[in-house]
Amino acid sequence: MRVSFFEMEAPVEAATSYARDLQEYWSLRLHSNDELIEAGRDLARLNAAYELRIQENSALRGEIERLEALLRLPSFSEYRSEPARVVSRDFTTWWQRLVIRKGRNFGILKGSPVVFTGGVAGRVTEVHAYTSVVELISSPNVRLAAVVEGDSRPMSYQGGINSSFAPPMGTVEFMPLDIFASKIAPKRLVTSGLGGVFPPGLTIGYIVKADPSADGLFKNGEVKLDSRLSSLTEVTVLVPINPE
Amino acid sequence: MLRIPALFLCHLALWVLVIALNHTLGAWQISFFGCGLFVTYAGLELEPREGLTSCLLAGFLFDAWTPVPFGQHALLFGLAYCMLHLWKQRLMWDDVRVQSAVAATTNAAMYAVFWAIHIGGLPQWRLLLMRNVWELVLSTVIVVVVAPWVFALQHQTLELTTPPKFRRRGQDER
Repeated sequence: MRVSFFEMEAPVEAATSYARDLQEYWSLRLHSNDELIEAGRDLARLNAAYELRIQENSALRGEIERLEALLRLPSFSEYRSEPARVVSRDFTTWWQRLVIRKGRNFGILKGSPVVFTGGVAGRVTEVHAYTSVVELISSPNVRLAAVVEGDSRPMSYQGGINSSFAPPMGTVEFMPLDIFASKIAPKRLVTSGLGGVFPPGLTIGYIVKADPSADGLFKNGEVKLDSRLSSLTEVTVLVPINPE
Repeated sequence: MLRIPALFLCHLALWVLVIALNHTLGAWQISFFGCGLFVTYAGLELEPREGLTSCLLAGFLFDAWTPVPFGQHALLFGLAYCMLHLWKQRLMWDDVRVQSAVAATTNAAMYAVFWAIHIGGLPQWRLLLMRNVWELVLSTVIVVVVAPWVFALQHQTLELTTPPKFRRRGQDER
């Protein structure tokens, strides 16, 4: 019954998001030619930078494959990128979710990681015929294994404290005592790759506070997430090519 | 016969607006809670068969879109309807201002119940109290402002779907 109601509501919401896209299109049409030329020039610069990155990436990928073969290591899971527009954002105290405009029709799988330009966005929790639901990393219900950049010791990240008119936040537990972080010198928190859901090295956020836990064995901290997470309009779903 | 589907369409339109508003407000990490708008008109104006059915259907709309046990909103809406239906004789419920005040109060009460159900499992929930206060204030203001429009929409829709002879009898009774 829940699925029936959802599938009945989904086209209405998708139509609303198409209307929003149309509105955006017409607002962009109002820009002057000078602005468009300037934007085109900026894009050309970005493209040149990305071309260089692609060449570097392919060289690094070749290096990884060579080392994997040499050390006989299992290779990382491979993913297919599936960009999707956001239909609606639902950011309450109790959950933080997105509905995206791709579902079973594009082979989206439940549990697939979702990323955006700032790093990890969340993971797919429900897949419907033409839409999917993504639970954001700022949601209190999301928990994943993370590491501080340059360190291999895993810790537990959980979404949580999202005050109004402030960037989304999360918390981190079981942080080693020798890791120090503050607002002045934040530490970048990335995915650990443990658990097999998220590829390693994706940015989660920055640890801006670290205090010893009550038992004194570890530290607990606050993680400042990317503020763009609250206004996402497009995300990329990483669909595993060979799901287990 | 068409009154319940017509009311359901009104609720669907209102639900779309609520979702669109929350989509926009999401950028500021705040959300609008407008469940009171879905039950007040039914609770004050409609008989149990129509009113309760339309409230339950509106509850299912919310249940399908949110990660709560299916039926939680429907149950909450049904209870709110029953309370309003029981207490409406004590209110000057023909007055739009009273209806708006009832909608705001019902909305706040439903928010409090929803808060009590869901807040227990959250870590450091005390830090979220300020956000809850913001949301409650915002929701109350919006409900008071839009309630007359929402009730007029529901009333006019029901007028359109009611045969004239029944419509006249209903007006005479009032």
